[in-house]
Amino acid sequence: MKRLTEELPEGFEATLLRAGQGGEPPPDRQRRALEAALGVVAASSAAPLALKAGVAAATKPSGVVGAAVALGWKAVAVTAVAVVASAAAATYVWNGPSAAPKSTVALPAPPMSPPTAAPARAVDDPPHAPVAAPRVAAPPSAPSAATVARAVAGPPSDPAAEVSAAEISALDDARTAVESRRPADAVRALDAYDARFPHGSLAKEAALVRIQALVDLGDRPEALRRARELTAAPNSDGLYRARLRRILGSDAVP
Amino acid sequence: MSPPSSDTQQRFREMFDAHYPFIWRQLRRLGVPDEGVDDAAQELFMIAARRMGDIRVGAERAFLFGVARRVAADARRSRAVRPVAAGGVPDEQADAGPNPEQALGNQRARKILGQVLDEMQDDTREAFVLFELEQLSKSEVAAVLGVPEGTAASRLRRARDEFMAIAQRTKARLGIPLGTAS
Repeated sequence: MKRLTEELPEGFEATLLRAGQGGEPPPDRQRRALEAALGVVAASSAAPLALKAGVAAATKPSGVVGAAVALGWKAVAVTAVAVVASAAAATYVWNGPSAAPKSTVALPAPPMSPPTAAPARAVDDPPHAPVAAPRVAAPPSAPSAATVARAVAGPPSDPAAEVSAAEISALDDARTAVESRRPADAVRALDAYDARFPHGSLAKEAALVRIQALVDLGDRPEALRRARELTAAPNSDGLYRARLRRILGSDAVP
Repeated sequence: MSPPSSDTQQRFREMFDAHYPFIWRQLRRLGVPDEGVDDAAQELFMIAARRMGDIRVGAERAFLFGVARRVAADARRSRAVRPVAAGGVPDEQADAGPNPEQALGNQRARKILGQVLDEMQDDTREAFVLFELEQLSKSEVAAVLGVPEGTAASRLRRARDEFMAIAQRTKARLGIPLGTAS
């Protein structure tokens, strides 16, 4: 079967089709997405410990998304997950759908395996060669990102999710302050977070946000001291170290 | 879900590198607004990161596309409730001119393409996008959609007819002379 652009190389339709071909994501956003997702992988490994300690499993995206539902869909659903996972500096606010009926919150299972004799080539490269030219990142507002959350959300009936929502919201205040270059507000928000969630399941993420805020305030010695505490903590994995290096410089973090 | 091992992380990394650009493009083509594509792609892969244990080796792209198509469907529904001026493309009146390539800048063409795709049926749109825009083979389209190859071929034929009909209507609506652009 020939493609339309081969059969109709010129004309209105061909113009439209050529305009829709190709395209590469902004490299910086792709990198941030990778960091955030790897953070989810790392956080997932810590979740069982948190659960054992009776802490709400806020590191589980389903709980986080459920929490977003519990907050009346005005929660920053994507940030809620990103808070767990990454230093991605973006806040996503969704203004809410017209409704969140049950039928829209269940994620129908996507195909787990190809049903035919022609399996998907899982590691196929996209047919278009990557373009190295940097592009300007899109602004952080993203109704569609919340749509993703809505697509996988469950009903807001899980009490643990509500606890998670409170913790996420508290930490998100701090993150937003850092991103808005209000480090003093961020530290205050983190103090409030620590007081309210002394054994929070997002404590490491909070520590990272605090370190960034301290650097922004010019208190590098305290930032370094807290970085040492963080890297000495159990289950301190390479992801945290990598993020600390970006905040403090590679020389400061072993 | 068992704790992810370094193998899981490695596998995720490979999946991400192999498919992030693909998924990013499909989200954009299937109806997620441009300003939300980056965030939607990020969230989608965060979901995938958590569900690695559920994704069969070799079926990663189909899994990711399965999530992407639902995300895009939500985005289209969300846009559908907004008031739209009669004609559907109020700001896309093309400049009069004999050459559609000149009349439509690439950005405008992509926007109009999005509107044409919006009018297509879900199943035909997905097949069309994968074949005509992503330029996958017919068997690859079938694998990504999780349908037999014959079904994919049938959808592609219907998709082509549908696309051509909608494109013609759109062209007339935009005031591009039919004789010069077909």
